[in-house]
Amino acid sequence: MPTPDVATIQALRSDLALQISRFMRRRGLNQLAASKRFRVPQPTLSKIANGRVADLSLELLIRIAVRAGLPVVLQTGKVPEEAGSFVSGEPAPVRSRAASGLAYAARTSLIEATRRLTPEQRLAAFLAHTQLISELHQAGHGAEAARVRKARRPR
Amino acid sequence: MRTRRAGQSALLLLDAVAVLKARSIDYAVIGAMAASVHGELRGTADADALISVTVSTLAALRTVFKKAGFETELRRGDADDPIPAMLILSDTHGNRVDLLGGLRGLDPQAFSRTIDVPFSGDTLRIIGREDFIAMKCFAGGPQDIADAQLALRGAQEPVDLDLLRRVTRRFGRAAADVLEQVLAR
Repeated sequence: MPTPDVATIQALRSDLALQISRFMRRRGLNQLAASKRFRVPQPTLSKIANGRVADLSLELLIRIAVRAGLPVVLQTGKVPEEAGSFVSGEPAPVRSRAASGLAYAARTSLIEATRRLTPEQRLAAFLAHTQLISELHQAGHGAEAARVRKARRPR
Repeated sequence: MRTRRAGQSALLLLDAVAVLKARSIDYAVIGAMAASVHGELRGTADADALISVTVSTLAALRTVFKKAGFETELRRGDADDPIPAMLILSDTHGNRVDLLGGLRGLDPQAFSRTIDVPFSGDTLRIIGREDFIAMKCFAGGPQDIADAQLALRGAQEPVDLDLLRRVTRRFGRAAADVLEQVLAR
């Protein structure tokens, strides 16, 4: 069982290696091309790609990330499970805006309106909302029951 | 009980919380109620809370809630389920409260970061914004990601990014990946 500091370094190493490996895939870099670009031997990149990072130093991985132009945040925490490597500023894989500008503007204005509510007002609105939904359900069931009764009535 | 009709699960939660408080059990409101505080207002049929107890204590609590007039059901998660057990409380109107007996990966300190929100003459402890976003990243569904983004965008005070990254990473690399997506949008 490694000590917390050793476990934290291990977690950072494997997370950072994962980010480098993903970066290579995103850029379509094979190990040979990446080894030239990052100025590291190809077997080192093979280890990174396969997550075998026990004998790679954290410093080397940071060097590779810097040479790749990959901005990362290394985070340690109170326990090793909180330690990780985060890629900052990478573009999101999905579009950030709705297809319709009108729909996007409507949604944004709704969020802004909600933002002005205090937490207390939000919980009160939550209760009112759930009660209204419940009334709607009951009204729907009532209407359906009335329709069924009417359909069964002899003509 | 405060509930008078259907659609009042939030009030049933207040009754459940009174029982928890009497036994000094930490809790944090999560789910749609927490989403309503941190992000988007929306209704739901039930109310959810995390409680800081073991599965055996949760089983013992079932008897306590039964005596207090709740209808109860205890469900246990599979070995790989991040929720070890859940106590479902309900009333005669169909209102329902789900008490989650823990969540794998959750920072135990999350209970000390809850925010007190006045509600219907009482106070509820709502899960903190960073922990809420982290849990949503862990859940990882489309609605969860939307909730996490709204919680980030709707924040009136700066979000503690260091804390957010730490508590999300506790849930695993997949949750951390979702957080990266959420932060990048």
